[in-house]
Amino acid sequence: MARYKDPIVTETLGKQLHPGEQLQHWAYGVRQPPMGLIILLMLLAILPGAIAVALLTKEYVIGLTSHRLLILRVKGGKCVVQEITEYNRAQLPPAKTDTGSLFTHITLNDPQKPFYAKFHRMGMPNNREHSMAIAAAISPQRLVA
Amino acid sequence: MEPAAQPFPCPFCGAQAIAPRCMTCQRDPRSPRRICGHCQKQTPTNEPKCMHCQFTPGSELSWKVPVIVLMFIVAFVLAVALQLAK
Repeated sequence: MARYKDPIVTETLGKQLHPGEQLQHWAYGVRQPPMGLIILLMLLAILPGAIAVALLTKEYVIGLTSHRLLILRVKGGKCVVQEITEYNRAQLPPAKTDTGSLFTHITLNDPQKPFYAKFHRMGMPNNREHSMAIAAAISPQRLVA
Repeated sequence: MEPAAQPFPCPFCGAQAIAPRCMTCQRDPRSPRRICGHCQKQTPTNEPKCMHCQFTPGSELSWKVPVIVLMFIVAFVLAVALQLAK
């Protein structure tokens, strides 16, 4: 069920780290096309609809380091990096996080580089714990208490 | 010490940079970037051509949309053919 194992994700994220930077948490998430489009595609034909949704789904590996939040768009079984976005932890944009029974949702409302993805608890080993830890670290509530 | 003030290797040119601008390549070393499909180096997402090899990538949707449309056409043709065969 897990898309990637820990070593491949930590190795992929590790290549993006600066000297002295430590990787603290990592998680695998996806961004699917809008729900209306998924329903429309599935109503047209189930199998082509499912394949179309898979083709239009973007996969992400995110990592929280001592200095930054790294977001890598990846593809394939070998976790090949396509795009890299990073946010300085000291200057994080407004974040909205939500944890349900299956998914942890993370939204970053940055006008220049917005980000949204959902992280399934079975996405990779300990995905739930890692994604919740990242959500807790970047959400505005961290300033309270 | 403020982490943003520490120099780090610029992802685009490799020189030591301090955000918000690399003094060597004049780019923001923290800006969104993509991996060039031709030379495999990092290049800014907001620049249409690769800064290293001038390769211009096509949109991913340029092949995905035709494939999706083709799949639905095949499914429709198959459904009609099966109905006619009955």
